[in-house]
Amino acid sequence: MEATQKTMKVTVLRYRPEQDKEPWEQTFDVPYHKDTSVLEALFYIKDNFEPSLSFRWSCRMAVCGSCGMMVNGVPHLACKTFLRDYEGKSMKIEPLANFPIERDLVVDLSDLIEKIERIKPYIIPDAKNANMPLNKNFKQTPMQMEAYLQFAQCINCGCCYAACPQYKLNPKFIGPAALTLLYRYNVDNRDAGAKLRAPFLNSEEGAWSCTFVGYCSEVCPKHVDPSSAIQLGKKMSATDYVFNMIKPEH
Amino acid sequence: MRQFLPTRSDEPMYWLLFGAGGMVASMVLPAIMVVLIAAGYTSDDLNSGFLNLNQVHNIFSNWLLSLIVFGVVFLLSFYALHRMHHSSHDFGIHSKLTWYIAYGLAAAVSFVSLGLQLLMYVKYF
Repeated sequence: MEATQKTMKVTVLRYRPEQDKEPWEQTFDVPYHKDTSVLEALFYIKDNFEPSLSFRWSCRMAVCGSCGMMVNGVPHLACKTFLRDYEGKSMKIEPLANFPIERDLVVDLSDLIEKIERIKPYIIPDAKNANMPLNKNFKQTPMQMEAYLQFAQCINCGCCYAACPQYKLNPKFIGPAALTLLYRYNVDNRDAGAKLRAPFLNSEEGAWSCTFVGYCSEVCPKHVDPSSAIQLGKKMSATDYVFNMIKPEH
Repeated sequence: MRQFLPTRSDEPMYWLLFGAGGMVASMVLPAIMVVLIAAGYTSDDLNSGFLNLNQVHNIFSNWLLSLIVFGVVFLLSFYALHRMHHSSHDFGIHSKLTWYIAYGLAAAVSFVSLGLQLLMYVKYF
């Protein structure tokens, strides 16, 4: 224990749909140590000042992807962000940008979930292996695993959507996490569903809405590098475009 | 149940030109500049860093060099204007007009370059 407890001014965006017309800010003095995370600061506020403060959390160790929120305007996982890194500054915690607010720091992620569902994020075996148990005909070399492993680390926290300026401009954009998962399954050697996913990748709302700003990769707490996956997806889509020009499929 | 699938975007065409132009800008253009600067240092004919008309003729009377110059101009103009077209979207201009301006201008620059080169090739000037 340190002899003198440091405190930080933490401002939280509040919104209670049954009482408030619009979101408003509330500031608290939160004591912190060198190991106090933003999530723990929120626990402190909830326990000591505002029992009604709502926020999502579960694992506290950057695995579940529940506690994505804006810290001083940048998307972060609250459990992986520490007050010590903001020493001498104040802190402002807001719900994830680009998503509708449900209550306080809780946002409505249904658009993200719908988009992830849309791109079929599961292994679709070819006809020959359709009824095989997954451990039978689906052997994989370390090299084959390397092709997708990084992109499989996504925890669906939504930080990349909060960072993406193209998603902000056009909410129809399928977006970083879903396009990353699309690429992840397309390059998996056990998967044969690339044709089913192609219309989404090839569309304007797919890979082609991305202008390679790269902020999604910068904020990703799991270092998935979505912008790289999208550029690789563009390569895939452009190849498909050229082949389709030579030999149309319909 | 019928599933409505999104239509294919034409963007790959422009993106491939953009990608090729990017490669030209980052790899071919510096090489050309190195050659020109080296020529400038070693040749007595070069006055104040500019090629004289005779030297320009020598370049454009060679069809292969002409083709390379055209390729560089064509890809670089698409590269630069594609980027500007998409940047205008980032700055809040979502009109289809930027599409016509950007690619129209790139095509115009390419055609003017091709025309001038042909005139040069047939020794019009």
